Amino acid sequence: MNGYVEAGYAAVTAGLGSYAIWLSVKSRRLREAFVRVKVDDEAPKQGE
Amino acid sequence: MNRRRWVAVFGAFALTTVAITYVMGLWVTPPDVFQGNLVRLIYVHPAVAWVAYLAYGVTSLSSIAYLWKKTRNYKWDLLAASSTEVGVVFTALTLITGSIWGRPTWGVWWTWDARLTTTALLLVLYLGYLALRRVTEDREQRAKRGAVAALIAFIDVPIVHQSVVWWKTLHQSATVFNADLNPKIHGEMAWTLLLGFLSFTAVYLWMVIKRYEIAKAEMAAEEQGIEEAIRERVGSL
Repeated sequence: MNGYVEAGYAAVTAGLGSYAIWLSVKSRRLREAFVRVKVDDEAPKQGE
Repeated sequence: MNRRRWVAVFGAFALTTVAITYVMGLWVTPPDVFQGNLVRLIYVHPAVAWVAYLAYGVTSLSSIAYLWKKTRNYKWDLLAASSTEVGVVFTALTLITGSIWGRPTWGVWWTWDARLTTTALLLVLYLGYLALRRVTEDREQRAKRGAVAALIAFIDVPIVHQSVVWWKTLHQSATVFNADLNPKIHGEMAWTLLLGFLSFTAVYLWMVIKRYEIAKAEMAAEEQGIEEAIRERVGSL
């Protein structure tokens, strides 16, 4: 087709794609961390 | 359907519309008489530039909502920061795709043209906004300074838009959304262009929702950390 056109579309895909992946990974990690904290808080403490 | 699922469905919708834009832009629409296949970049470049404007518009409105005492809430500050971060990604892509189009059309990757320079300045201003937010740990100070900086940075948005009218530039002036609202463009091209605007706007919305959720969770984690520190301190006394 045209190398410049392909480069333009590739740049948009790579830019938005990598940012979207970063957002998804970060939100999943935060969610897991919150679940862990919640489970730790609800677990019976030693001597209870 | 819960909120998380709705966001995932909306993300899939945004991705599908972008995929359709790509198929239309790369294979379905005809090449231009003068530009040939290079015209296909028009389906992404103006659309990502529009999203950058939109993102900074949302940042400004959220900043005003934070600064106004009646509506002051940290949610507005988080929304402003989230929208700016996404806007910075789109501004960088505007410059990159513009540069890729400029090389075969103008013969250079970059020139200090009014449109290009003011857009580069826009990127620097909002990167500065994001940097400023990292200067202080104090949440109120961060939100207030950020809101003021965002409003100052927004002054550049109309300058970027009007730069092709106010100065003699290499960059072409508005050809589709012109003053006469008379787009001289083939129907298939016009619809694909419109689809590009809609699809990248959907991507922006999904990204802002995700970034806002992350920012909210980080704020909650920060609060929890402070509470735990207080509990530990009080417990050790």
